[in-house]
Amino acid sequence: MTRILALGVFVLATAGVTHAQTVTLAPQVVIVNHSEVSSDFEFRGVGFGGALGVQRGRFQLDVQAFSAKANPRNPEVASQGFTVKEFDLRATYTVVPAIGVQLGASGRRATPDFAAQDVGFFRIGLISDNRLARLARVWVRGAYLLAPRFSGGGSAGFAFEIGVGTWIGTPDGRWGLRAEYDLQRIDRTVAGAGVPIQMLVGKVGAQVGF
Amino acid sequence: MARIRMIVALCLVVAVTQPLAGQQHPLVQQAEEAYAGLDFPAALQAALEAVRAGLSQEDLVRAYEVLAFSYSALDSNDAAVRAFQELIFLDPDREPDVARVSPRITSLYTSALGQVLVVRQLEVDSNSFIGGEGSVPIRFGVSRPARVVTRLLGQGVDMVVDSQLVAGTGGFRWDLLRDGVEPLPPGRYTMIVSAREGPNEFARNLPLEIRHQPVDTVPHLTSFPGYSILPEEESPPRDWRPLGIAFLTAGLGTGAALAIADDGLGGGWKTPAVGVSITALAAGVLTTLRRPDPRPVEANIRYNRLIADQLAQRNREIAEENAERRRQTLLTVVSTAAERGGQ
Repeated sequence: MTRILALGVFVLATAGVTHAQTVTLAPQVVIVNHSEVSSDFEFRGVGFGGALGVQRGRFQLDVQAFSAKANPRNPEVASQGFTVKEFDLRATYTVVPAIGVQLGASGRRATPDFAAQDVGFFRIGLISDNRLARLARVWVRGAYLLAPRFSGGGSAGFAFEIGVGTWIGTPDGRWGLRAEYDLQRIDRTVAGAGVPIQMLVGKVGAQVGF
Repeated sequence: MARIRMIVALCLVVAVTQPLAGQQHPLVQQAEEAYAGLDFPAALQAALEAVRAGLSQEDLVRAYEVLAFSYSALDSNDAAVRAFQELIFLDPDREPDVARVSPRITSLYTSALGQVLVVRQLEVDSNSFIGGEGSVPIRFGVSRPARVVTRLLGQGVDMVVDSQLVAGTGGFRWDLLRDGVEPLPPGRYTMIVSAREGPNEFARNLPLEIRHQPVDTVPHLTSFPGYSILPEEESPPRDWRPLGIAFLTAGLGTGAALAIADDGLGGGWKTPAVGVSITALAAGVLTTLRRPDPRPVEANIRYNRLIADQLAQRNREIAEENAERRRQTLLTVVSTAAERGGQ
């Protein structure tokens, strides 16, 4: 988390000396739904996070992080909850208007250890980001998750994530509300046995542009 | 009271004895009535008495006219010609009315006119023009071929305006400039047109007035007639595209999320996805229903810029033209009256 904050401070500091760029900052309330192995091991929780974005020309860099406390939906099967912290990095290059290529990485850690799988991966995908007049944006993105790593070992065949979001704000882009939703599905296998992981994250918050 | 009566009586005497302005002298009237009654000796007698009586110029002209007509009627050609000559000197522009008098009289008048030198039909038209850019026509005629010299006197100016040999009618255009450069000062002038033929000389005066006025300047233009400024922004018609994009984006995202959700893991928690999708759709509806932002019209902007450039250029030209006009003078020449000169 300290590293995330340091990165955010660095981006904000460099934003003041660069030109023709937009910096956005969005504190968010986060709701998570984490499932592993089967629907019996489903955890839900609420937390807080933030998003920092820097756009310059066709390039956009987004850094997101959150921390949430997840509790089991079925206490009879899984009695212990956990705290999940996730860090996401996405770099986007707009190829044609509203369509961009997205590269990035992500890391998720659960506390206490082994309460849930720690996951790390790279991503490559596409994003369609559309500006609706000057008052709103909607985007949808999909990415293939590359080289996932798990604290419990194993590998993944199919690993994909889908996200959709919207922003509604002032015409100058300074103030706005932002809501987004991401779903990750990772078909993890360990020693030939399937232990899939599914993570759903909903975020809503304000966004300030500089 | 006696004094008042005396003053009234004096006024009456003066009123009766002084002929009114424009009233014909009794002798002239008597001569004309006698001529009209074909009593030519009586007309001759009355006209001769009138000529000797020292009349006004107008009465004298009429007296000599009756005299010339009567001599003509009595076949005294030489006397008639002499009377006509006097008449011509008195009023060179007066001619017998060919519709009323006999050809004999006209013939004798023409004979008399050919024997004297006079300047006739001296005319100047009132005119206004910018100094150096116009002129006024001066027209005249002479009864015999002669050199005609035109001089101008007044306001400290004594200059020869024109000199030419004239037979019949002549004239010239006068630019009202001194030395061909400077406009003549404003004020009253006398133009003297002198005709000389050997020992004979005749001159006529023409009183003139020259006025100065500043030349009107041209107002600057704020627009060209018929070319109005076009609006540089226009409100586009309602656009349903934002709603379509929002619908597609939300549908694609939510649909894909639900499609890849693992049923074995509970099929995914649908509430956040639905919530975000509804928010995206709301954003699409909001932006669609909102009045579209005005957008610039490039063609109109270029057109307005062109009009503005043309206006600026024309106003620069007007400014230069006005600067020139402020240095110019509008000259007006007016003929006040034609007067006879002497031989």
